[in-house]
Amino acid sequence: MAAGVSTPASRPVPGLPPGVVAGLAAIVGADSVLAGSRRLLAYECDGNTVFAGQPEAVVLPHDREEAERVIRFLDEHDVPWLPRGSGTGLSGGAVAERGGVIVDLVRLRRVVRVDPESQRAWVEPGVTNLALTEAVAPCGLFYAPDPSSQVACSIGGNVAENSGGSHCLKYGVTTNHVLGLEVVTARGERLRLGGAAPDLPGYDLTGFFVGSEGTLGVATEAVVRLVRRPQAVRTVLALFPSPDEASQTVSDVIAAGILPAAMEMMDRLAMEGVELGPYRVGYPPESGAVLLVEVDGLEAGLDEQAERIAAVCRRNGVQDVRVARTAEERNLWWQNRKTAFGAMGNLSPSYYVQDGVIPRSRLPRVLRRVEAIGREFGLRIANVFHAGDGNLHPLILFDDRLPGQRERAVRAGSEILRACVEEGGSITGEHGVGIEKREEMRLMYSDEELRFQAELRRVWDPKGLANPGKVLPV
Amino acid sequence: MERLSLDQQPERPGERPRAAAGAVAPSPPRRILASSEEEVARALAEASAQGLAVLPQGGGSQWGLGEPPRAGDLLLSLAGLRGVVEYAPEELVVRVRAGTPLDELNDFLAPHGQWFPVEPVAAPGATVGGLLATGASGARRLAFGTPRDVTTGVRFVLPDGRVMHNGSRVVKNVAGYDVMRLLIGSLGTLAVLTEAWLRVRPLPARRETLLVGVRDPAEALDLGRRRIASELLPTALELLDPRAAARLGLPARTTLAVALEGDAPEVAYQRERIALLAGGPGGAAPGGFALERLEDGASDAFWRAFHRRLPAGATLVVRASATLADLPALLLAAAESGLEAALVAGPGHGVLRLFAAPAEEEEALARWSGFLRRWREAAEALGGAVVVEKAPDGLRGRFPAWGTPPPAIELMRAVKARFDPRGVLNPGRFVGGI
Ligand SMILES: Cc1cc2nc3c(=O)[nH]c(=O)nc-3n(C[C@H](O)[C@H](O)[C@H](O)COP(=O)(O)OP(=O)(O)OC[C@H]3O[C@@H](n4cnc5c(N)ncnc54)[C@H](O)[C@@H]3O)c2cc1C
Repeated sequence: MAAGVSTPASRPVPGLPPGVVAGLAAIVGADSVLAGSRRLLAYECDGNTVFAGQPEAVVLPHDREEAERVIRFLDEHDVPWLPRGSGTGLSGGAVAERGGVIVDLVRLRRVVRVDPESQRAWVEPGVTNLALTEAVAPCGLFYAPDPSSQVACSIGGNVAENSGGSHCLKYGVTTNHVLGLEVVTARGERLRLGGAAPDLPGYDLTGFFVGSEGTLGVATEAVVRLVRRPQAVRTVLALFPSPDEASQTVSDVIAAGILPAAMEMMDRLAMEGVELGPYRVGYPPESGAVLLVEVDGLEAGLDEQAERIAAVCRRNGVQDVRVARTAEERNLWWQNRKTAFGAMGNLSPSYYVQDGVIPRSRLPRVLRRVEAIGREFGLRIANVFHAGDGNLHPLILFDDRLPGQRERAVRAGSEILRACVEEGGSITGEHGVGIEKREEMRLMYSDEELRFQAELRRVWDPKGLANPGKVLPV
Repeated sequence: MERLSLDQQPERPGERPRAAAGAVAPSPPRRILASSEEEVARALAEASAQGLAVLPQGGGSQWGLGEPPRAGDLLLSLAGLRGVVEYAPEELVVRVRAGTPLDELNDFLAPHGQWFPVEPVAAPGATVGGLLATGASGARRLAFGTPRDVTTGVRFVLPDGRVMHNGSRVVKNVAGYDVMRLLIGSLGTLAVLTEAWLRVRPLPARRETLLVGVRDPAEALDLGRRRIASELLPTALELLDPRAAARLGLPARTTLAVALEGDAPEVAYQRERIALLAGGPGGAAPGGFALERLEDGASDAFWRAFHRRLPAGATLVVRASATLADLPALLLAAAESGLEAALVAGPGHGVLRLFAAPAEEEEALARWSGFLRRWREAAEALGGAVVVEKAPDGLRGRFPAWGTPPPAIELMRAVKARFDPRGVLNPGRFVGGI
């Protein structure tokens, strides 16, 4: 079966051809090439510690001209390579599983231009998501996709993963906000795709590049849409006996014709984890689920909307529902939610995050299946979701020190993804396929479809050098 | 060609949505009305094997967009692939066949209190497949985006007959490559779309349109962009020049049309703010503004006319696009050209259209092509574009539909070659002769 879906990963990498490190050093300077195992340790894995691998070398270009020359050089010497941003990815995308060179883009971190009137910004890939929003805040604007990792993750990584975030329910994901790119393709060509103006003629290569996980080339600049800060925001926190009532509430809010900016949920175990962290909200022990709903827009009518949401909660057996009274209170609720992954460290020596998507009306059913999978594998699973768009993040808790636990966690994760696909969903909503889910791609696409996707990839990367082995089954 | 002709129901000319004057209605020797995905696949595979040039057609409302195809042996009509396949109101998604007219989709959704708000500027009859293939949009893109923003999955047939899908019914999905976005806006040159999953929206409880008469385009832009769009959340905001206003049955003056669609309190609040900002009742009137208010049904009818009547009545439709900062320059250049055209522009989204019916005689055509060339040059210098959506034959030869090919044109050709190595689909219609 695998024979049909040949991706470039099969290429063995016995180490770098002679002269490569020297050649890279000639482009970026010797102190910007890391080689030798100690210095490479930091590049062993990304935010997903389950998959590891060491590159032969890391190169840190200072600007896009250097990035272009580096990639052309690697192409000329047939060296496999991969781009890396902040290394917060959760699917092993920035891991040099089979060696090769990592092109680290942290130094490309200029916000090149902001055009507040057109609501556009031109940014280099190493700029962090939050830094971009902070750079445009004085103009009353923000960059809408807001992954929970926004303090650290880079725009280049966001583009490569088509990242989402809590507020994507209303505002859309990265691809809805990236209108153009400058890329260096795997063949070493620097090209502009799309642009700041709407409706530019030609195929939407920008749209194809977004989410391609570093397998087509490097994004050296992104042209992004900026959104005006809403006039007003209301944040509702609701506590329920169990995720069932909270899930029903999510469906009922949508059915009531309300489109919140965000609807986030955590189950009991996740709540216990975050309550042990620095952002304690004080959830009562009898609550089995917390729902955070945010509406924003014009001040006019917003209180009514928040009240309608509260009423839906009450109809679904809510234990307690409140609207944030101050910005501090709202921030605390959000910090509590946004630090949920890391907070699992309070519950377990290791954890493993999954990223399935389901039609939101299937939430209660899928949660029961997740629970059953946890029992079957003998692992505790906490659940954090972008409930509004059906994006689940089961956090599988395990102990890496015990033999076989890690493998069991990975297998449990795969079972959960299978359940999501069976319910009509997807294996990944925002974290990407990477190494982690490449086999599960077979749950989504036929061999023929995968083969066709591989062909399209080769248009950009005929030699199969860019991030080999990621995205498609090997 | 035997099997093809067996299945095909020869269409009577009168049945085909007549392309409005100025659209180059193709008349290939063969026509097929496919009524299932399998029929599309079989027709394409056979046509491919025989090296025929295939022209896929949805509602036939957008034939004028791009260059006339170099060849056309077979017209593949998708009008028979019609209807909703799957609908989950609580998920706000609908799966629909490509040949379904947008009106039919909205009629289907309305009883459930939902709608699909992406309506293109196009002659009546537009279908879901045609909308996606053209990537077309209209006034409500301001609030709801364009087809690329509202499509979550597609099914499609490659020219060799292979049937595939990409994306799915769930709104968030990053599994694999985004083939869907390549297809959206590809004008049927890569594959034939057979189904789409679309995001739908709750129908706004209250719908109003305010028509604000202003002195001139500059003032309209200032009011629209700097004051209304920077503070409020209209779902559509369009500037109409006096000719465009007149064609829609309004007084012939520069008019700003503002759609407020949502809950009653936000609509009421915005109406009052606009009255104030525009200097209407209770406001300081800088240029003698006049306000007219259309409610619910009348508001809907206004926008329907806006999207359909302007293109249907013209033989020349040209779209220009630029960033919001650069839009005024393009608008003013057109307004001051002295040519007889109706203009509409979106101060909140950056797309501008001109509608005209130039006389088919040397002098007029020369003046038009001269202006359009200068206009395109200006737009391209600003990073924008000028694209022909419809043109009389006499103008086609003088003014190409697409302008300077984009920098990534070679990559685009390579993409085309993977989908359609034999150049079967819509040859020559797209950018750079693709
Ligand atoms: C605590 C935590 C919370 C998170 N929350 C969210 C969330 O809410 N939503 C969400 O979507 N994700 C989330 N993530 C995942 C992760 O932060 C995102 O995927 C992010 O976009 C990765 O950015 P990065 O700069 O760290 O990329 P990296 O991890 O460095 O790289 C990710 C991928 O992008 C490629 N890449 C990097 N830069 C470029 C470039 N310039 N050009 C081409 N390819 C490139 C790499 O090759 C790799 O395949 C979370 C992660 C953590 C650790």
